[in-house]
Amino acid sequence: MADYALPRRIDEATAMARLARLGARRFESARLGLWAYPLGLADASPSAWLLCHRQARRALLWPGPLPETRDAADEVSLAGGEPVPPERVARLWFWERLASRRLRSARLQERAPDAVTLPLWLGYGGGRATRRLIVVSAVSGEALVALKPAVLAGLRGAGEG
Amino acid sequence: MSEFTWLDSTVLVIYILAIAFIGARFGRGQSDTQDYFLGGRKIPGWAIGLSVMATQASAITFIGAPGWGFDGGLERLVTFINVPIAMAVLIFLLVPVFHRAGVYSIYELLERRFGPATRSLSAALFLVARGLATGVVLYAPALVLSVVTGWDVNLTIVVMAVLAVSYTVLGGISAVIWTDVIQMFVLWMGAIVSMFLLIGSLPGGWSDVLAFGAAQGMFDAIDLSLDPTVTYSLWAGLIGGVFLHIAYFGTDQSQIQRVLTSPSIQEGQRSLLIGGYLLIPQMLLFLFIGVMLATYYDQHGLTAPDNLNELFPRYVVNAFPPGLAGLVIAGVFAAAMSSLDSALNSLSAVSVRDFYSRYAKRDASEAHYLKVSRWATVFWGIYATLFAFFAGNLGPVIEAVNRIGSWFYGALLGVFLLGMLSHRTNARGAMAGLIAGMAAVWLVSSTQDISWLYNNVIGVAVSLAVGYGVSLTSPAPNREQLADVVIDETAPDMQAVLSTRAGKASEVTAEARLTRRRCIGLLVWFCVVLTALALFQSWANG
Repeated sequence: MADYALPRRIDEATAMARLARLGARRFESARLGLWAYPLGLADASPSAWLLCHRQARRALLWPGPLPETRDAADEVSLAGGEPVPPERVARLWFWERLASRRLRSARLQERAPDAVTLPLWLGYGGGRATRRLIVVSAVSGEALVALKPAVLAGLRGAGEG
Repeated sequence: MSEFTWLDSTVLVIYILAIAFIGARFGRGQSDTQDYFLGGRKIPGWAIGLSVMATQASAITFIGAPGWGFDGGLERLVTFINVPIAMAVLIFLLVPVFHRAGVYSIYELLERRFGPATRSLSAALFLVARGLATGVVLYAPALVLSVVTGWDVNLTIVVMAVLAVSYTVLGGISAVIWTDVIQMFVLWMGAIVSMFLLIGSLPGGWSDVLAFGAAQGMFDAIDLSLDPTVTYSLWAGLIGGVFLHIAYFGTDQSQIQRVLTSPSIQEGQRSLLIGGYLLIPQMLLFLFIGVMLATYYDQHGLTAPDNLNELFPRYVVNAFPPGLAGLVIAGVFAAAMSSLDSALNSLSAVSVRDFYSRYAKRDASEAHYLKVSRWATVFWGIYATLFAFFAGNLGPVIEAVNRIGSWFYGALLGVFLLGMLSHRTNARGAMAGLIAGMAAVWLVSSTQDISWLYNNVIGVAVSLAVGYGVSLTSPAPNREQLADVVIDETAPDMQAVLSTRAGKASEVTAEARLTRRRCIGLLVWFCVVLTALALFQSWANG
């Protein structure tokens, strides 16, 4: 069970409209396990978190403290797998820093990552022959293409489990 | 015989000012580039569809197509007979991928799949091709105004450009689409009024037109010749024309950008249905006006002008009663501006999204990008104006536009298809396919005497073959590059997992079978049109 859970801000009606626009015909809620790496000054408490997954080629950023643990009902639980190797986290952080000037003063803190779950809305499109997966963040409502391999791996694990 | 009277001028000026005013009002409340380029993704499908229609019935069609009909009857209808099939392919294949990606410029998708070089080259090719074509689009109505008013053609080009640029700069894509909806009706009204006045000016009315057209072989729309040098054979129209229109409507940002403004994939698909059903009747209307003009000229013993693009406007000014001539010329303006505005907005979108915000200034505010987008629109307006000064030397205007496009669009379509249909193709293959496809079209069109309609087929075939072959020389793309771009994105075992999950998930919409029904409807429409033309041709030939 994850230590932290990010809040679900996009409700079902909004998600349905968003997923319909993206071509989904069926949908469900899910939570994807991620590893949160602290960002900030060396000895200070973290000011932001870098959310990583072994299967994702981009990281996500979460500003401020991680929300407290809570129960997640009626959601497909997608395991986060093993923590991401440090050298890979450093590379992901490098790309995020390059992408935004505002992040350049922050540093990756040297401590163990925390487990966190990200709420998602999963859409299923396509025909009978070929299914398509659409991943939308339930925090921002944005489509998260970069997380799709991680979600697929989680779905495979959930199916086997 | 009448001149272009003060009443005509008044009708024309009121119309132009009304359009500029309405277009400019859409600029209010726009705060970011999503408003400016995508209309906040709130524009209904029917409005987008009419806008696409209005752009197609641009001044080059309004002026050029009656010239075609006068010269060759309905033979060139085969260029458009393939549109329902092309629209079905777009609805089924391209629109869902483009819409799902959430992009402003479709070339952004090429960067996700193939990397920045493919995106930048494709976007640059679009800017060159569409920039040149926009100059031609500007030249055609300016020529009309020149004939009507006696002004210098260069002066009329400048007047037209200033008008279209001003409301596009202020109102963005919303102004483009909603003014197009108005202009679509004015344009059709102008064409229909012309048709009835022309019929009224012939002693025998429709029977004169049908008798003259049949006697001159003007209703022979279907030429079954297998000779590839026959420009307007049925096969050139079907094979070449399908690829021409898939490439034009699917890989030209000025067309597909409007589909991206729709709130959903279904609405985007609906917008293309309108063109799929109505573009052939529209072209038939303009070609028939040309046949009527040929009948009129024959009965009155008149000599056609050297430049057939002047045929229709000259007739309008000389034969129509005061006020009506102004209305029809307003229709020409409607057609011209509806093409120009969408081209300017899309040129601006590609310039800002694919180059400025990608390479020059990556982290600026939305207000900054909106300002730059408006200046980019002004820049492209000036560029098109300068090119329009030279467009008079390009021969028949409508074919000139299509030729410019056919050098590039086939290869570009090939690269998009490689990205969507193949898991194996990569950046190296895409670049090689794009360059080889263009080179092949240039080589064939400059050394062989085959119909130009086949250019896009050559471009697509060569870019697919070369692109795939070269891709095998370097590693396959990773999963993230394939996600949301290729049609079949997951392995067979994952398909089983997704099917199981989808079976348990809640239903989003009951429109599951809508896309298939829409595609089948378009194919049925294509068969109906082809059969009707064959029967009409058979009747005309006794």
